[in-house]
Amino acid sequence: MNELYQQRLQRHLRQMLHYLRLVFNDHFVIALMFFVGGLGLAYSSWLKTVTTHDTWIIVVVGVALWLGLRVSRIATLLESADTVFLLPREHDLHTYFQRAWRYSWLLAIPVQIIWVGLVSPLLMLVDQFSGLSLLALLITQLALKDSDLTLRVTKLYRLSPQQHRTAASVNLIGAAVIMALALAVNPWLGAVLALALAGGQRWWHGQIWTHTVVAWKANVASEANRMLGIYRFFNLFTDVPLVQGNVKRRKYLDGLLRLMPADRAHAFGYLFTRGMLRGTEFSGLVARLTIIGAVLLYFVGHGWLAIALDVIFIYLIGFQLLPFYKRYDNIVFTHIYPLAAPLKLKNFQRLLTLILGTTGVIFLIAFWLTNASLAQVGLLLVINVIEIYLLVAWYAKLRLG
Amino acid sequence: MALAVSHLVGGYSQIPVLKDISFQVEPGELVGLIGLNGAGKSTTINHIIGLLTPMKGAITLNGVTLASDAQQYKQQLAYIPETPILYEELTLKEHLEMTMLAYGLDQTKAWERANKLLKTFRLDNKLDWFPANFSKGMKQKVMIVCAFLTDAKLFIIDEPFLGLDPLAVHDLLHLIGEVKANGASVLMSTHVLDTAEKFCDRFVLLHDGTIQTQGTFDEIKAAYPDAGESLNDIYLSLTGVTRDE
Repeated sequence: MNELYQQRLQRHLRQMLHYLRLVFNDHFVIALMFFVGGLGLAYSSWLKTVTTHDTWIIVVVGVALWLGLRVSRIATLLESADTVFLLPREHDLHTYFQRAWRYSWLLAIPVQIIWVGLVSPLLMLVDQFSGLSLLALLITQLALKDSDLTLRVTKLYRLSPQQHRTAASVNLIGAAVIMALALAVNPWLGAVLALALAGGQRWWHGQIWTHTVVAWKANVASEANRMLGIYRFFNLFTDVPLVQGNVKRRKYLDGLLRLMPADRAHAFGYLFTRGMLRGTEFSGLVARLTIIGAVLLYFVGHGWLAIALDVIFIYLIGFQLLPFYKRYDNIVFTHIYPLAAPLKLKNFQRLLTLILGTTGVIFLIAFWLTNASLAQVGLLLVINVIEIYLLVAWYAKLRLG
Repeated sequence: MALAVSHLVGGYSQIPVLKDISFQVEPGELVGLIGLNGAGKSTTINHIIGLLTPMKGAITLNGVTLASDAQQYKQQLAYIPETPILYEELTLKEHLEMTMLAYGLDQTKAWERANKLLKTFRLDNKLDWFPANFSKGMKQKVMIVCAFLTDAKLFIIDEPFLGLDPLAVHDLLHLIGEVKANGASVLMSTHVLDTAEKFCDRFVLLHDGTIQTQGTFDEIKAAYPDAGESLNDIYLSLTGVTRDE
């Protein structure tokens, strides 16, 4: 069982590495640098305005730390075939789960440390936390995460609904109370209580697992769900074959579709607009990048950085939409329709203009909301128009024509 | 003649699958394209609908070739694939509209026809559904409705009978009869030989990329008097595949 987990973990890590290489391509690294830089800049400039009177911030920090505990789950790496093939060795599965627990722990620690690290300047500013108190808070957070993970392992076994409810509420409410005590009374008190809770969860786990059975179906489903979440994340940046975008009817968009021309010259446009709006793959991409871009623009202020961000995000969206042109190439009818050959590209360019134009307008509004002067907004408008023109009329034609 | 395939040599790669094929389909005629798996039926169809370019020979449709006027050529052609092919993001209604737009049909007239077809194939209450989620037979019906919506001069139907319920098969044959009466031609590939025997006007028997024989059922029977009574028997003996039974 030890070996089995080891094997699966290696395969899993290889796969993750493969995708990470694809994710951290040049485009993304640039965008990420801007993203982290922009956020860091905004955070540090905001920190300068924080004083010891802003005690509400402590409440926010407490809630943030508490919510941070929910991040990262148990990576069981179970597969649906296991319900058949591992069933006879159910008892031995406990060692397997322990390995999973250990791996998940290693994944969770850095996240929690970074999380505590991010909020610690606030605590030092508002509550005059010393280094030792911060250490105690870190211990509290890690112990609480430990008890959270232990409970997640316990839940891999079948519990009665009663046990489920009690264990979950002990953990959630306990963590909230301990966090409140740590921040409001004394961090060392929090640390001691958190360690006690973690110990208690471990003791209970040891008591309960021998008396119950593995919750196979639920475990396999939750692992599949976890993997799907990871794949979805990767799918933002690269094509993951395991994630096929699905189709939603989105009836509320029908009014929008009716505004589009529906005649022979726009037959492909008819198809493209519907495919774009109802397929989750490309529409999701556009929506996410537009929202991230607009939020960043708003926080970065109205300097050159904002203009660079705007240009980069519009380019990223336009660039990633180009494969949509070939979306229907495997449908034979698109080749045998009696339509003039250049119409397809023309319709696609029209769609691209519409999408990038909308994104551009949203970016302009975000930019304008940062109290940019009209002259600056005008400058960005000109830049957007030029960029979209180049992307649509020149680059798209070059790549697809 | 409507469709004329003359001395067609073609295939997917350098090695030709079709070796010098010639046949014609006259207006108002239903021609059955018969052959074993891999005989070259689908390749022939792919050449006619323009997915493949002939290495040698020519395909003309009422005097037009794909090279001379692609749009005019395609306008005369409607195709029903063997496996239904649908747009995942379009509803049934939008599939029909897309076809109308692509073929430049008059919307009012086309919808009149569409409603009649939808009723025949019992799809009229599913206009707002995604056909991509339909059963195989219902998807096939959507393909039929889309194809017969057009005013094509030549209908290419690839193995229409599998997956359709008996009522739909009956309706399809009736529909084929209707377009034939209006002067359109139909080229149909099929393995269901007894249905083909009853309904096709002429047959083209393909084997290993060549035409084994072609003509009406009586002509073929007269040419091979020892081969058997039914199209099935004749076909089996002509392909030279013997079964030790």
